[in-house]
Amino acid sequence: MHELSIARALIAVAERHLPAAAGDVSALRVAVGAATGIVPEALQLAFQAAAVGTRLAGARLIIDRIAARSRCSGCATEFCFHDLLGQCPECGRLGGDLLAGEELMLRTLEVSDV
Amino acid sequence: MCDRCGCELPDPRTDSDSRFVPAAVSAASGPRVGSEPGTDPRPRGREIEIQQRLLEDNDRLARHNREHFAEHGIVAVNLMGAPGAGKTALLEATIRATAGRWRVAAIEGDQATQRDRDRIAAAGAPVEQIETGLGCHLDAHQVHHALDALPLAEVDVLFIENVGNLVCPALFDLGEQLRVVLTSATEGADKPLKYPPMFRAAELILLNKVDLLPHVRFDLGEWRAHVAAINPRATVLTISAITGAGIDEWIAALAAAGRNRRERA
Repeated sequence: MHELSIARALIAVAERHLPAAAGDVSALRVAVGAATGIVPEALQLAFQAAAVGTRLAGARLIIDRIAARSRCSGCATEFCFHDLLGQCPECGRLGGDLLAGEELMLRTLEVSDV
Repeated sequence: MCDRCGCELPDPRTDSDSRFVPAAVSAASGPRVGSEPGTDPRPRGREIEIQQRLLEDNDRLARHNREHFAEHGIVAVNLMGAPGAGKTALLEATIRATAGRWRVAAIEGDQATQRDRDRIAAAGAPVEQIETGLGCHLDAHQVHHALDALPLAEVDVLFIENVGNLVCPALFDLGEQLRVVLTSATEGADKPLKYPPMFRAAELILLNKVDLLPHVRFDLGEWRAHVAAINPRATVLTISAITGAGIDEWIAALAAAGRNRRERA
C-alpha cells in the first residue's frame, strides 16, 4: 500500500534532479532492495498513476531488484535471499543480521536532449 | 555466497520485468536489463546518473524533527503495531503510571476519526491527531506539522502512535529516538516471521495482553525465538496495559533511552 508514497517520493526526487534543459524523460531506473517489502508491480502501477501531469508522465520505470543479504545469527554464514525473511542455507536458521536489501534509490534518468 | 543461492537469476515467483542482482555488483554499473529487452521501439536517450535515496525528503524532515526534539530535550518514541494491539491502551497506562514525574504528549495517527485523541486527552496529556485518509502510515512531514500544535517546551516524552499496520510504517523515519513495536498475545506467536521488516526496524519489542496468555493459544517461547531470529539486538518486554504487568519495566526502558539521549548530547 505504501508504494504510492514511494512513487510520489520517486517523482519528487526525479523532478528535483532533472536538468531544466533536459528534454523528455523516457525511463527511470530505480534500485529496490528485497528486504524493503516494496512490491515491484504495485510500484509500477503507483508510479504510472502518480506521474500523470508531471515531467515523468509516460516514462518507463525500470526496477532493479537488489537481493537481500544476511549473516546468520547461528553459524555466521553470509547468504543472499529474495524474500523478506531469509533462511541460512547451512543451518536453516531464519532471519539473521541484515547486511543489504534495504536499498531504495533512484539510479539514473534517461532523457532526450533538446 | 551468491552462486550458492542463485541470486543472479530472475526469480520466477515475482516480477518478470526486473532481475535480482547482488548489491555488490549492482552498486557498480549494474546490468542494463530493461522491462522488455530488445522489444522497446522507443529511441534510447542519454542516461543521467542520479543515485539519490527515494526517501531523501522524508529523511531530511525526520532530521529536522530530531533537531526539534533535541532542542527541547524530548524523548520521541515511534510506536508501531497492528490495529488492536493495544497501542492507545499502552499510552493511557503510561500516562497514568508516570503522572507527576514525566510530562507526556502524544501524536495519534489513524486513517479516520479523532477517537484516540479524545482518549489521550481524557488521560490528561496534550495530544494532536493526524487523520491520514488514504495513507497507511505516518511520515515525517505530517509529524512536523503536528509538532506545531504541541507545547514542546513542556514535554519530556512524546509518543507518536503510528497508523495500525505491521507493514508500511517500517520504512518511514519520523525523527524518533526509539522505535517500538507492540504486538499482542491475541495476534499469534508467528507475527515476527510474517512481518520481518517491522520487527527488524524496532529497538524495543513489546508483547501486550499477557494477562490473556492462560486463555489463548500463544506459545511465549516460540514467540521469543522468532523475535530473536529476526532482531537479536532488540530489547524484549512482556506487558499488560490493562493489568499493569510489565509497565514498570517499560517505563525503565524509556528512561534508559532518555539517559542515552543526554549522554550523546
